Amino acid sequence: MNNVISLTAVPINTAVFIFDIDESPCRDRLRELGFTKGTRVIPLHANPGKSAVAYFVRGAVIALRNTDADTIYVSAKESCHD
Amino acid sequence: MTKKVLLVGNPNTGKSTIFNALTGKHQHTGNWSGKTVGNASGIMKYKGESYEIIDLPGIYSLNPISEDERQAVNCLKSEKAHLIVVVLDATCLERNLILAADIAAMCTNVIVCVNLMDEAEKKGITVDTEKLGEMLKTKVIPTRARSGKGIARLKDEIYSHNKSCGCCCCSTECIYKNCVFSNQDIINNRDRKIDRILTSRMFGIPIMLLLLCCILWITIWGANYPSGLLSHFFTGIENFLSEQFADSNIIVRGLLIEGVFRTLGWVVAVMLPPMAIFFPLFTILEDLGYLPRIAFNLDHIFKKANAHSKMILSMCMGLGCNAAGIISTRIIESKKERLIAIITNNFMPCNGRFSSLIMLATVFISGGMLVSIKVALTVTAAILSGVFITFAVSYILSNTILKGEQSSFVLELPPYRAPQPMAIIRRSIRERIVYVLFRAVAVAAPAGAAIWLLQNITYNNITLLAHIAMFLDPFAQLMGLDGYILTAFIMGLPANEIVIPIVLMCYTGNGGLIEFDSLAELGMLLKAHNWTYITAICAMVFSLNHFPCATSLLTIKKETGSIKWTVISFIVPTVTGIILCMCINGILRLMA
Repeated sequence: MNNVISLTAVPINTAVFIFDIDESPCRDRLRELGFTKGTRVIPLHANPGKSAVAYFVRGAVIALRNTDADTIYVSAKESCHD
Repeated sequence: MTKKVLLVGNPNTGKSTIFNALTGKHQHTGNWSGKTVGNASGIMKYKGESYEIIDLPGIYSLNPISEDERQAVNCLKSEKAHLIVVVLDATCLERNLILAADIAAMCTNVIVCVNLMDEAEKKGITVDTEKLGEMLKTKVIPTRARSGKGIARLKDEIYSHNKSCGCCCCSTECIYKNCVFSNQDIINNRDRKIDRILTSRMFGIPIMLLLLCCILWITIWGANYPSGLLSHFFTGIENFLSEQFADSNIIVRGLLIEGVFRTLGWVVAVMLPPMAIFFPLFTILEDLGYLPRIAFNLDHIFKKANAHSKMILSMCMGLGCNAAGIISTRIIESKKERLIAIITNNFMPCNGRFSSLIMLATVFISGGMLVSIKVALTVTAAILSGVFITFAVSYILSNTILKGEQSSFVLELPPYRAPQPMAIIRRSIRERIVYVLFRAVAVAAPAGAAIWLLQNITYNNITLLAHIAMFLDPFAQLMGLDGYILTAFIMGLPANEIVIPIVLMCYTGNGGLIEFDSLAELGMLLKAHNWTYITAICAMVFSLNHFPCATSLLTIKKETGSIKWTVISFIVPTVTGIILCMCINGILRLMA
């Protein structure tokens, strides 16, 4: 049921919930911007070069490069492991 | 004794606006994360007490990543503050509360200010500030800093503050669910609709270029008339002074009137109008929240150039002033990428050089219809070539002396906000007009004196200026310039604004035209001194690519703390400029 995919694979305007984030240099930055386990994220629109996407997260709109968004894993349902 | 009050919070929550409202100061505000990169402090007097309010750069957490954040957190931890005011964005509490709870847990002297209540209301977000205060166990004050609502209460709370408990026992998620009620339309609200156009594949980049061109056109078209007016004004005064002091000695008549006063007049007449018009237009874009969208639009190009997309923000600031651009690179987390941004910042023409570019473009665009549009297109092309060179040099640097992994790109796209015209006009007058006049006096006056001395002291029957120009001439000719132009660039090291005025001084030293009706007329003057379109193009290229001004160099030294990088920042654009000028000159001459 609970398919886990990378955030870049989520279609635009679809709400998903963060399942896990890979260890990477930008993990701290992502965490303090509110990308934490269980948080709802909605991809809003890509940039002209399709290298980054703007996401709605915790009331703000944050642009992430796809290489960074790839480290975030999400599922369609709110995870219940916490 | 003054008590210290710190303003902290996420970036772009309106700390600086609150700071200005509390202190009556005019700290820069702008609609993007990272606008404030250094601490600002001001005094607030209330009921006989005096408070020092400190505005800190925005932080997302207490673990700083970039330089501006490090400064804020250090200050927060080291300062013995009477009170910490945590400023929250009412539209984004779900994230803002994380920092508020962290700070409330660490310190016992905290009050919370929920700003942007009006914006939240419009978005369909209601915040129960009473309940929020209960759950955070601190005083919570709702404000709308831009209209000044809630500021009186905030002052009162700062005055009457008692210790807060600081122990908050629920998770931020729990607080959020209990205090904030949102029926916000996330996907189809106004901002998203605008974003879908301004950052779309079809229109994103064309709209950007169109905006740049429009701003330049308004600047050029608008600057023409005041320039002519100022020129008449200064010439009138100069003539009057010359008559009054006709019998006085050479020092007064020559050095002070023909040297100092005339250079001052040139700088103000030629340089001030474009600067005074461009700056407020640019500030409108900044206040709207457009700058982060530019970074978002161009991300793929930056990615290819191995540079950080936030660099575009410092590049935009560089259009106003390179020293300001260099300081704003603090928002770039990675040290290597920050150095790239610092070294390449000078490829963006600052306001002073930008006025020179306009001036130079008028040389080969003479008369006819739509002059201002043609000039605007030329200057747009010049700025775009600056952007292109920035990318190229960034690529070279990131593959040679500044090798390293590309860091991540994370950028907040703020909500669009209506600019405040009065604030922009006030700021432009204070910062541009007063600043340019001050610099004109501080830099142009001594330069005017120096140039007059060089023109009037002779050695072997030739003036010193001619000696210098003759010495530099062979090299300058290779670059498509002449000795005087190169001399002017070198003498313009203290400030780029004086380069063109010095060139004009060199040509008009022995009398001749010193009054003009439009910038195009000045172009005629240059043509009379053997300028061709090649000279103008090479001068534009060298203006765009040469050593940073003295202020920028000092800023680089201060920001990098290293002589080595300051020297590199001097050499890289200069060498680029020399090579480009020689190539362009060679190719154009072969073609002609």
